[in-house]
Amino acid sequence: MLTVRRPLAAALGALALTGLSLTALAGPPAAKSPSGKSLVIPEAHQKLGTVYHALPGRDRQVFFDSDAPVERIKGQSNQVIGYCIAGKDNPANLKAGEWHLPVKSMRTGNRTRDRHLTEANWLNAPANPDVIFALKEVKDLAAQGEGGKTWTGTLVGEMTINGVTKLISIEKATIASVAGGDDKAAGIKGDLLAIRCKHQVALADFNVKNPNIGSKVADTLALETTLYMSTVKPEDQPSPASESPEKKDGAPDRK
Amino acid sequence: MGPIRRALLILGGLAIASQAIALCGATGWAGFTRYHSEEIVQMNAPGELERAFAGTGLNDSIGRMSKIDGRFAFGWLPSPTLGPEALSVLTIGGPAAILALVGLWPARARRHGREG
Repeated sequence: MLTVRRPLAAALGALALTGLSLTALAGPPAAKSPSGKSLVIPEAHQKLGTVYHALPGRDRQVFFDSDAPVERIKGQSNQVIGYCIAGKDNPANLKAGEWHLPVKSMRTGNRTRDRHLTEANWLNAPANPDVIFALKEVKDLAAQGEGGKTWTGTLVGEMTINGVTKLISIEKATIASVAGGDDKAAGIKGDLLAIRCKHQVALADFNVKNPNIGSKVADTLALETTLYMSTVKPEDQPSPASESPEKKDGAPDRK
Repeated sequence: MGPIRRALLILGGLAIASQAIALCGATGWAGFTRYHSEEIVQMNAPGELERAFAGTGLNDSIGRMSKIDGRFAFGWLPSPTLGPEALSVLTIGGPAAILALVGLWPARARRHGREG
């Protein structure tokens, strides 16, 4: 009996430890600012370096491609909010970061499909309104070219989709910086930083279960991200020319 | 069916089917119907940020950011949704083409068919 109990106790102990580590992994997501255009940055993160804020409502930030046997669905959003902390020695040596993509902001070019995406049997926006990526570190950082303004590296962080958090690594991410006052950056205040990357997400990993997965929707989505950020908060930036009342609440532009 | 009724059926059916195909061609021969979205069009317009990073090498390793088209397109096939995207060449031009074919079917053959 003792021989049976020991492995059982060990298994239960391991399970408990796994549960604890997953709880620690997830952590609470950063709160949104009153305007909803940025996140409230934890003090511990602010001390790590220079804060760069994502700039929603401008260029597209996230693109996904579902290449399934029956249908190919593509979508995009420009409503990502968040921040990253750039290292004092090298802006690409990111110390922390967190970005929130509102599920309701994703546009596929088909309003009915946009609504379906948010429903409980897909990404369940009522329960989990945002897709969240919390950056933990950048590994294998290497300068790209000779300008000293662009680097490549591996982003390591926690991706939360449908309320499920997984530790992921995104290889070959490009990080670039542009100094404030650059003529090309006219219309945007502050120093700028951009992160560009591609990676894949398996829906099953995030407990997204739907009979259409595998036929109309691919098992794995290809994601592209370009996050433009500034040292000046989006609330203090000039209004983007493209901002419209419909976009502010993340609702579809036609119903 | 009288000759006038038959002619109307053929001309009407062919007119609708051909215009459906013409509209598909005029809007880019898209596979599926989509409607204009000002939000998507504005999202795709080159903005200050994209211009600011042009030349930094941001897109050198993985290329430029992909995008979906926000312009109206009358597609060949209906989207599998119960919405306005279900209108297409197949759903509008298809029935019209069938009506035209019915009109073109020889009257004698149909009569013989009924008698047989």
